Amino acid sequence: MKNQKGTSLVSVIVSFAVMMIVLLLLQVSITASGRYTAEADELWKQAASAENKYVNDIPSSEGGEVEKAGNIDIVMESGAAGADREVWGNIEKWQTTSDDPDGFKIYYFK
Amino acid sequence: MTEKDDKGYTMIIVLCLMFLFMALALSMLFSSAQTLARAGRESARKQSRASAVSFAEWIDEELGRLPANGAEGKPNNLSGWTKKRLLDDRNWPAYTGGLEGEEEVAILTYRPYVSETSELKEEELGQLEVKMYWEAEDGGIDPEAPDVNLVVTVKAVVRGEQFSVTTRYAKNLDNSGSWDGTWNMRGRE
Repeated sequence: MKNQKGTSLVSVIVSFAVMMIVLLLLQVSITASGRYTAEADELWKQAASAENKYVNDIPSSEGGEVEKAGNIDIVMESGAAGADREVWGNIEKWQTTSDDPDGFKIYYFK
Repeated sequence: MTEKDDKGYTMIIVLCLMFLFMALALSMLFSSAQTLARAGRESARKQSRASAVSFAEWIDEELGRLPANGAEGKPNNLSGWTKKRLLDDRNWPAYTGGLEGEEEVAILTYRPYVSETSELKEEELGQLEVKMYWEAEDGGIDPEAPDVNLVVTVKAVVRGEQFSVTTRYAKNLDNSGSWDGTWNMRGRE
């Protein structure tokens, strides 16, 4: 009888521990899942918004949401290990604007 | 069935339920991680498309400009380089599609030279690659022929997502049939 009670106590403790671990993992999974979903949703929205701004291509100085981000002298390499270099001209780099400095932006040439 | 046996069954049912909850939670986690990865791929695809298309459009404009030379007598624009390779150097054979190994000499592959101070950053615009070849509509190999077409493919790769734009250009001939070194876009795919 004494042995049975001991075994029962151990099984209750083990069951409780297993249940707690499962519940903890469940909570972690649900929290992470929620965060991933929210991040994905935000990224979708930002990407769609940035694409609209890029397609409209109206500079911020004219009320739009794209801005010039630099000038680049385009030098192209060809041949083995880039042996030949050709200056193709000058190109402007533009980017979409975003309120969030770390937000998604589309960069493009003009 | 005794009370002792009942307790055993209850334990098994509880354990099964726990495993079921875990399976559901893990599948939810996996699904949301997949959604996030898909959103990341989609944003990379949008960037690669913008990079490739906008660079191809810039090439349209540059090929429409008259060839120009820099201080050292070398061309300093794209139309200048294509004309030099095609007519002056004569070291750029036509791509006929029928000869073994001709891709290596007939298809020129360019990648941008990026200096440390350059504004051309791969993390923003992706990796760019331009492939260029020419062919005559009648299958000939004379670069001076009026029906020479220039085919340019721009590829941009951003975080593993790539987008390519292929554009075909024809020589811009005047009324007398002479070529000034500029190209007209004929089609894009």
